[in-house]
Amino acid sequence: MAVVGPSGCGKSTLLRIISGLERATSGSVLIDGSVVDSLAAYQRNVGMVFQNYALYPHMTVFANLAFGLQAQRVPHADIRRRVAEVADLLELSGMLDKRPGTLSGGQRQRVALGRALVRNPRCFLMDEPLSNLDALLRDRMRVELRTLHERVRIPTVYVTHDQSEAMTLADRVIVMRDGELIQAGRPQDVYEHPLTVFVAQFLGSPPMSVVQVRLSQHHGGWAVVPFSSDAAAQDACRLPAEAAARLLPLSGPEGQLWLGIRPEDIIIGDPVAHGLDLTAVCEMVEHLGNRVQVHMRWDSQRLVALTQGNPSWPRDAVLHATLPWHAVSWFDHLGRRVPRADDQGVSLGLRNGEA
Amino acid sequence: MRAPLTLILRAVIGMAWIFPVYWLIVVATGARGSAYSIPPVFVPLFHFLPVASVLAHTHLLQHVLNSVIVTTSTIVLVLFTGALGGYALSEVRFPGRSLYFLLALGVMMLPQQALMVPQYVVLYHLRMLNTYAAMIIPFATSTSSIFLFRQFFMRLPTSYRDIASVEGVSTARYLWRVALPLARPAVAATVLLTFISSWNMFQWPLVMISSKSIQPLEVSLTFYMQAFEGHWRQLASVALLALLPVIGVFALTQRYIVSAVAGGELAQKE
Amino acid sequence: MISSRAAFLRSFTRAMHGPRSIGATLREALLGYGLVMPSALIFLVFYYAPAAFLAYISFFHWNLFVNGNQFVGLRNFEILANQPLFWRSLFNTAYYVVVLVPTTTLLALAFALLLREMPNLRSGGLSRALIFLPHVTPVVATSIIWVWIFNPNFGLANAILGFLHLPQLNWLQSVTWALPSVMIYTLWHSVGLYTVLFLAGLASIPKNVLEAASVDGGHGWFAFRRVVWPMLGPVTFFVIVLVSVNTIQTFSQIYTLTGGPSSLAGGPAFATTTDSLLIYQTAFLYQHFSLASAMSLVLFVLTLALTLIQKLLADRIVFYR
Repeated sequence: MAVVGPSGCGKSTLLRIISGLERATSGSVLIDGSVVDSLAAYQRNVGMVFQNYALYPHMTVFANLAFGLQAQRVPHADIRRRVAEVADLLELSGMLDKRPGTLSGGQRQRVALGRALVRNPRCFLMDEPLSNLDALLRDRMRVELRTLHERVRIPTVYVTHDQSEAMTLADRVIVMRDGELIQAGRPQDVYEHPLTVFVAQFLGSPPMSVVQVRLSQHHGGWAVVPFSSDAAAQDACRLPAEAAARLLPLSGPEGQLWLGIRPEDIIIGDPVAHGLDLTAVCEMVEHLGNRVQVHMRWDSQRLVALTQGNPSWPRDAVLHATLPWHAVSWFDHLGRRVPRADDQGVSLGLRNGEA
Repeated sequence: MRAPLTLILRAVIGMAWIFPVYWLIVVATGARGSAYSIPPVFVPLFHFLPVASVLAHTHLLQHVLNSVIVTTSTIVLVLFTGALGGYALSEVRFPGRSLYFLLALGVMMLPQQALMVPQYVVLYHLRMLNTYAAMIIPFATSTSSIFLFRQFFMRLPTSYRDIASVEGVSTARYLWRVALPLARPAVAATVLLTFISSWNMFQWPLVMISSKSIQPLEVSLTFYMQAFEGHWRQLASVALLALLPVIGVFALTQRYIVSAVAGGELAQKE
Repeated sequence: MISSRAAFLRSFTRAMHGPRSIGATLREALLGYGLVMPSALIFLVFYYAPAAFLAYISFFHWNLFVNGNQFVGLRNFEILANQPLFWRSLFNTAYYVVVLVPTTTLLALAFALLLREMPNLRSGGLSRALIFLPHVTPVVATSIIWVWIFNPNFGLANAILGFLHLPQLNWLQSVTWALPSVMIYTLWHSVGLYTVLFLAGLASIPKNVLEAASVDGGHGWFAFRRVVWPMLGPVTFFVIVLVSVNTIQTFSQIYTLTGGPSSLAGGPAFATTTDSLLIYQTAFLYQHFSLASAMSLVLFVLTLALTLIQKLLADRIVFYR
């Protein structure tokens, strides 16, 4: 499980509360279904990994791994056996006599993992464990972490501000903001069904494009207009009647709503049947090798689309983009998700509360 | 100022300041009567016989031993109380912490000379007059050591302490195995500062200790100043014995000792 | 499915209002008190209690070995005020402090300027060490050498005067020169410390400020007056406070240089009887504890006032610099 959110949102505090380093003012912590509130940090039997690894620089790798066990008066033979096992698992066997200062970042990272592992914890708590590594190493360690997790199968709470780490590593993701839990669920579910505009814009790279729109009467039905625009509604932007009926009561006093669309769902060029057709102005085309990122302006609002091929639209070219209705996420004027047909059967976490 | 002139001035001042100490060595190890010769003899002859004979014919060895006992016990205790106090100030949250901070800081403001009389009375009532404890316990802690340790402990990442609590390492064990080894410069500075102040202590034992058998070396020197009046060579030998440990330690840790002492003084500035 | 996820999350942080753990807070507080206890006890018993006790005994006719202390109000201070020797000791102390504060500060500053890091010169590390060494030497041991230096017949001091064709002095045996002799010793013993403090102050001046000054054509005296000196303000005040607090309390070198355990200390003819020496003699030679306490209280207030005034002054001047 990964906990993700912008810095200062309370992720680390959450971790410290679970570990017992800090006390919650209210609520209680359960591990394996049992309340551990009254237990001191070490009695909870959790393994922690910190961003700065917190390896003791004056001790050898072996001493670092063994320190906690010695404090628990584990017999020497047991300590040696368990350290050897963990060192073997993490490929640290050759460097047990070295000091952390002489190791590379990745090796230190593994020692920190080993120190948590050697105590056979009931769960792992990791606080931004990869953010001190450079990009290349980070990718490699991410794979190693995932492999390790699959081998030892210890429940892990993984705190990160990097949404891509959360998406790739976790079985479940928790999104936090300002100390509040916003959404929890499988990464794919959270990605496809964000509960709030915040979540929509936090996950994914590039994130979901969210534009503010207005519902405007049009030939007896309703059409979607960019919120800032006074332009008359057009046929192409006509909203299906059942959607309009659903959305109208949720729109703000001036009919405003939020419309979210994943960049990969935007279709440029050939229109599809059930979608919002709009005319946008091309701002920039970025070629990323395997895909192309198109920055567009719809009235004054920004949209980002991902396409394939080798388009070469000049700046200010007029593009016809289609946003298929089934892929559009609607949010009411306060930024809360408007349930969609395929939301049924997907857990969207605990709450449907205020953003 | 031009470079050669500066160099010459530096050398002259350095030599002038060290001369008295150098002269002590000349007189103590030189030929009989070298103190009186005019012009003075400037070359040390390294006759250690007078030094040895002074040691053999007086109770000086006992006083040396007293000084060693007092100094080493004080150093150990100051390390202990300083590390604990520094740790409490930097890591532990308890009501009254800032009061303790002020308590430690305020001690440096108290004029030591003005306290001699009431301190004597306190020691009298504690039955501590004329004991080793009188020279050790009141000096078993120091503001500078507490603040030094506090400063070093504050520099340790909080995750060190966190991981230790998660692993069930006790505070005592953490202090001894992790915090102290990582605060080695504070330990060294505390040892040096305490060594100097304890070994050089004079007025306190002069007042609090009347029995000759436990007097430290410094106090016993005043007795020899009278006993050996006019016997410059013997007198210089005795003084040299008190001086040698300081000079030895200083020579070994020169750079360090200077910054430790100056740092100890500068600690007050805040 | 929804319910199982929700249950998991609820187990994660369950919204349930429980009391804040008092146990842990208490445990941490107790740990804190345990840790500070040794040092706090020493401070309180051996320093703060005596300081409080000092005021008490100064207002009593009081003797350590006789019961029945009698409240005498300001009587002890009255006796003091009528004691010419007490006034003499105050004068000697003031003389000693007033001469030593500027000379020590200026000499230390001069040494620091001479020994500081210079762009084209190796640092004066060795000279610095030699100047500093006396500060860490035991006072009595080095006093012995200075007794010889000040010896009127074959001492170094008179040898130098003779070499310069100046009149010979009686140094420690002369009423006029005894206290200045002690001052010379004190200067020798302590100037190294203050030099190092000034060196630290000089080192903290940013290099680019100095470079800017020399680019502007500031050399020597001008650069010092306009750039270095103002930036040394805080250190200078600190040194002045330290020198005054240390000199007002000088005891050991006066005691040893002027007679030691014989009751001659403070001589000749009380020329070197400073406040702290008089306190020592009154209390521990003549057993007049109440009188000595009254003197101590005077010294206590003087020293504290000096420290506070200088601290206040320093804050203002450094602030408005």
